[in-house]
Amino acid sequence: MDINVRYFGRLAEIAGVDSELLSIENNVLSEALKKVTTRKPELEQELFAVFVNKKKAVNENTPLSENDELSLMPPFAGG
Amino acid sequence: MKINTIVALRRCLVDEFMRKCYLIEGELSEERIQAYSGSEKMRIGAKATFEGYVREDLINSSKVTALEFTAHPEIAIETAESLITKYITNYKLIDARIFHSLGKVDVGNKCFQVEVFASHRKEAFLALPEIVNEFKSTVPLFGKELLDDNTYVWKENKYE
Repeated sequence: MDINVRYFGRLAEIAGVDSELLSIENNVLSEALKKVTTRKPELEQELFAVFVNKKKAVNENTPLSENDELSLMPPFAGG
Repeated sequence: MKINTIVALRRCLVDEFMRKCYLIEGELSEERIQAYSGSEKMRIGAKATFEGYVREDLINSSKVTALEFTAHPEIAIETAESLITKYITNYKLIDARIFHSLGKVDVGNKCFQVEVFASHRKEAFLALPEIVNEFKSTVPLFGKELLDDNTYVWKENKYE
């Protein structure tokens, strides 16, 4: 199934895209993150928060469904 | 007009009325921050305000000329609205509002404003710094410091 991955801030530069479709088979967050870092190994060195459908993911076992939105965010810098 | 359209329109109007966090393109000028007109205005005895500006920092001997903010607007607004609701409850505030810039803001201009409305100054003074600090560490906004040598540096607050 396909999910949509969105990159923010510095992560978008490292990934080379703001967003992309990712195909996964086991429908779990850990698999999606592994695919992301396999495609761009530099991301493995980065600290980031993960949101699934706009809610912060609490662990890597979070189940995913078709067309879910995964947002990867570096440390925040507002204010 | 169909029922669904009316319901959606009404929800949209209610959401707008209830909104407490605003992401605004460019600098926060006085015209862009409207005067408070909440329904409980007459109960307000104290208002405390924090204003954040883009500072002309030096980074490796280059001057910062502007900050450029990006965000996932829906997550940023939802996180900030939850934050405000929590502080209104915890400190028995009458209301609170947050304004933050998106896009490019030149040095010397305002990019962040937090307003706290309370019955008395004590609650307003206590709540304001906590809201400001929690906003900075929990609301997903990303800033690039644009430098006078045409390079840039990503601004970072640390996760807590």
